[in-house]
Amino acid sequence: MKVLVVDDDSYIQQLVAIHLGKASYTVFKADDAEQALRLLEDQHVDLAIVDVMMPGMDGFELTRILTQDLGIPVILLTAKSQLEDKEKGFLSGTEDYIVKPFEPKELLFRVAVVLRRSERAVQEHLQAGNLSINRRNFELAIGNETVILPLKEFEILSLLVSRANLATPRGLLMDYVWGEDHEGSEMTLNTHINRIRDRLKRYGATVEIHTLRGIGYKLEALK
Amino acid sequence: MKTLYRQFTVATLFILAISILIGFTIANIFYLTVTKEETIEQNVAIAEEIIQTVQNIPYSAESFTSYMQAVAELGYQIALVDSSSEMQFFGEPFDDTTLPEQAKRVVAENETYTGLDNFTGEIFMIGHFTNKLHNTVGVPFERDGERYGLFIRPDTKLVSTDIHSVLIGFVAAIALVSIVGMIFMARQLTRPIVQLTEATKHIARENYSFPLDIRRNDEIGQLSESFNLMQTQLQHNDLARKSFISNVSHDFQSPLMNIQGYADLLKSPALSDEDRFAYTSIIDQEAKRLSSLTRQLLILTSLDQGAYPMKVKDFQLDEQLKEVIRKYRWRLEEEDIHLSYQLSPTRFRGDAELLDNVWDNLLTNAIKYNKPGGSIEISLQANDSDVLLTFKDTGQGIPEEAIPQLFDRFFRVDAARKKDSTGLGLSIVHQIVTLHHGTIRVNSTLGSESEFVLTFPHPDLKQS
Repeated sequence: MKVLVVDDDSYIQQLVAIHLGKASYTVFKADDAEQALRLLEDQHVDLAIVDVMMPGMDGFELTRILTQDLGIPVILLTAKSQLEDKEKGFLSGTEDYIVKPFEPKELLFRVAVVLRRSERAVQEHLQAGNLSINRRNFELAIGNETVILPLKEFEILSLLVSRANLATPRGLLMDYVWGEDHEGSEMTLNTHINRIRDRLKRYGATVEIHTLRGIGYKLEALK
Repeated sequence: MKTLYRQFTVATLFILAISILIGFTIANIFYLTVTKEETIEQNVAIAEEIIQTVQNIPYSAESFTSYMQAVAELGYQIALVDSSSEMQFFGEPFDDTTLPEQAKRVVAENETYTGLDNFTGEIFMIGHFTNKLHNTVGVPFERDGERYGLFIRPDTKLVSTDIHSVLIGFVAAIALVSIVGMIFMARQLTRPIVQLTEATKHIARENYSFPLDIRRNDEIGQLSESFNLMQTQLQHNDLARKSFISNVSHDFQSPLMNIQGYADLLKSPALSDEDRFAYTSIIDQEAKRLSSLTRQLLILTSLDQGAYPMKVKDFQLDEQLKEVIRKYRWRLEEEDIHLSYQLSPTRFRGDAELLDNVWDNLLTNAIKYNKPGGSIEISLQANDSDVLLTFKDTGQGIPEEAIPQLFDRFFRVDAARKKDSTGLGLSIVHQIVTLHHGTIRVNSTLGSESEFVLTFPHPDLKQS
């Protein structure tokens, strides 16, 4: 995955680049909008992280070009005093924003979320029983309660919901959640499924996950 | 310096002078309207009585003269004028013996002369006391076929000396009593003022225990009472400020010392990766603590400046809460904490930036003091009168005896657990909630859960 970092503050640029690099992203750096656009002439990136305050063309303008003309998702970096800027940011089509000062881990989390979203072109809203899944915000609503699930559990559940009443093979789930190189084991998948079941039960979900021995799982809405 | 003493004294003398002047004027007016007429009538009556005596009893020339002298000695100045304007005087001599034209008619036309009537030109009743022949009453009479005029006036010298000394004594007594009284009053008034001045000087030198011994029931008594109150409050504030400063400097010093110390250790070349990692994470943690400490202190001091300028606006409270939750999703993920919320869409009026700190503090506390695999529940409900929020976590809980102090500055439930706490968060929360006329309540079971319940009056948004 290739990420472009555009910030005129070289320290922040470097810090962000180092953290992204450690999370095994390929990082490109640019000091301002012009440099970023020049770089993009012969380089494709999957995501851009753009600071709002920059000399020359500002972050909003750059974001507009990146998202509308080049189809690159953007995470905007904004100062706290520019909170109203977030409306402006979304107007220009950015995918996400993050308020400075931020924890590097928060940024990594957002990057992962945005990349997942753009990678898997599934439906934004999924529904089964009283479950409602918003893939844009990674939120699960059960009845009128909103539940924040760990990302992996969320991915597993949303795949099961998208294939409601269909058998979902273990292999498909593992590939979907952990990628083709299978970092996770079947045991962890079991653990995750059990935790999802606990939660569904706790919030009175009207769906149930059945184990299909030797095959995988199936999610069904209760009657 | 214009002392109060001098001002009082000058004012007293001034008032005295004014009152004498006014008294004199009033007496004068009284004299002119009432006393003068009476005096004239009296004098005329006396003159006529003398004449009657003289006419009824046939005196010889010698005995007439001695009679006149006897009358004069009773306290009169007498002038006897015959038709050829020859004058004969008895008693105190007149300073001026010219006889006005009008007086000559006493003898010529048989009229009564009242000299005091003519003294309108003179200043007020002083005219009454001038020792001149024209300041008399004249009555005509006949003796041995010869026509005379008898001019008399009471000898003021004889009468007045007593009255004068009495009057002077009277005025002097008044003046003396009022000046002494005023000085005494001034003393009474200035003594507490001098004491208060002394006390303010002590306060300026940060001595807040100057004893003020002023017991009065008047405004000065009130002043000294509120001064004492202020002194106590200042003393209290001073103590609070000092402990605040010592807390702050301690809280700044210890992470700085840790950073320094561990950075020093890192310089050593022979260091296992494990140690190096441990040292850097300590430095990292301490830097974070310093950063949050400065941020929170900034909020606290701006809140402390009495009238904090609240940037009040209407906003979507549930959206703001979702925003804060979104910000900490990575930590929930990392610490394996499960979060669920039920936020009914609520429009709220308040300072969004300040309230953001409240949710931030409560949520990070709920994460920080939670346990792996634990959960957090957040709810927002609104009815017509109140907005109710709860932050509930399955964490360590708070010991019951710590709850009253929970919102105090620099209070930490577990004094040893300093690493990631500044002890300021909940005090900020409390202050901001109070600023929005809300209340905050804590329910906790030690070892299993804590719940923070916030209640705000529901803003009547229809007015806007």
